[in-house]
Amino acid sequence: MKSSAGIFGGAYCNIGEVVAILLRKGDFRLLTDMDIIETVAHEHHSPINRLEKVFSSDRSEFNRFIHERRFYIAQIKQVLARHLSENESLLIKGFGSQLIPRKVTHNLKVCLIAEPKHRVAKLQRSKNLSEDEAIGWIQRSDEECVEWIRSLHQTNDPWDPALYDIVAQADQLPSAKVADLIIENLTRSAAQPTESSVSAVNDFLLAAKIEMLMLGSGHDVQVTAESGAVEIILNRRVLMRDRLIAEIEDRLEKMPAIKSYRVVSEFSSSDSGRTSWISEPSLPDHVGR
Amino acid sequence: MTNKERILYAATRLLAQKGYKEASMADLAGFIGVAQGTIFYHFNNKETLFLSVLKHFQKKIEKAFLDYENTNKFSDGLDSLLQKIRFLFHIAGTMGDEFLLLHRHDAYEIAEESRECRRSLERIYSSLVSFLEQAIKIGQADGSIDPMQSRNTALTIFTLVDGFIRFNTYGIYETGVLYEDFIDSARRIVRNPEQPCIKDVK
Repeated sequence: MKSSAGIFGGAYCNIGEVVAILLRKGDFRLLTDMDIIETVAHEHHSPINRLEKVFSSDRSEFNRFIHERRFYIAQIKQVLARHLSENESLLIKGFGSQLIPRKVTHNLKVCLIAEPKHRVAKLQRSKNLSEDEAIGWIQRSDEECVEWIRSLHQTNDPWDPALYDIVAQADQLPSAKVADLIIENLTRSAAQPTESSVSAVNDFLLAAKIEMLMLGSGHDVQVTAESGAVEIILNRRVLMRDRLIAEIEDRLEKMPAIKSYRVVSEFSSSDSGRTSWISEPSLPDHVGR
Repeated sequence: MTNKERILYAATRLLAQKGYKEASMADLAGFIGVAQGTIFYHFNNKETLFLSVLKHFQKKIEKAFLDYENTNKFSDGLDSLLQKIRFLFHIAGTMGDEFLLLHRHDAYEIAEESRECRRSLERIYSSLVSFLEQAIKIGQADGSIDPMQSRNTALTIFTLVDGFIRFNTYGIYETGVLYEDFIDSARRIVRNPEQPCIKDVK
């Protein structure tokens, strides 16, 4: 395996320019969200128009009964994990880059952001928009990032430095300098594949495959793996929990790639009688105070 | 979103999750962060608000069904019925609060006294059943659905669909696991035994 970089950031923060420079300067293979989606569509026969909507904050089109959106995300993870396990230096650009676990330390996490004023001015120049139109466009674009990051990392700040190895201010640093900074960091020992980071990629791939199979058969679960040991986390409490766990275990027993597994629920059996819909009601942001 | 729309949205959630008796106008005002007077400006009392929530739900499903009919093509009546069952599950997922409201006892208790509530509920159920019934009629005409099936087939299928949604709403079991089996069972119930068996396309 080789070092890779995942590049995320705000719209009109020079991501395209930085990526173009990196591709000229280094032996990288670019993987965009669309590249991943096309591979998923080809390999799994999933409809491309549905896959394209996976990264959107509007989830109304997905069938929640069959966990449709998360099933497609698991397919995306599986393709992404397989690419990471191959012997290529990847530049993973876009929303998909956020799916790579932090334990894959040879994947450098990069965020490009800039002051809103700078981004608005840049958008105005490129699309000939009024200031209000440009502000609205940037806000909507940032909201998509907020929703995506919130769904993955439980933070409302998509540019939170804790999520990245590098946060570059695109209005203060020229694109060539940002690209140099990324290359410099990729050559450092901290970004080189280690036994543990290679194992993290293998675990990512294993977990993605199992998650895809479980969600594909209708189970509302998250899957993690650690050195081949798999943990299945039930996302929802159900009254007939023991029956459900027995069914999941039956399926897992039939998967030869699994060394060991554990099915866990965030809800202990003592509180299994309290179903999630009774929880204190809350309102989404667009309706709230 | 206007103030009135915000109130309706929040009232649907509050009434569904806390129940009619437990949810007060003061709770609702606190929930949205407006003065109670603002709610009373749009809705005279809790019952009026409740009825508005039901009417709003009725309009939403009627529009959803119309849009669905206008944008989808089916190979025959059986295919249409099975796709419509999938769509009902889909909207039950996106309108979770509204379906929870239908699964609570409150609306039926109010309906015993209120003619308006009774009519609203009747319209909601009529819309849901008619949506399936249209497909069944087409299927009986084109031969894909058993011609011997009675006019009550739509109601029978709807009770199964409704039970499945309730199973999900109350977290009784993971319905995702049963989803394809459910569709297959519905197909076996209604399909014309004289016709060759062609599985529905997802």
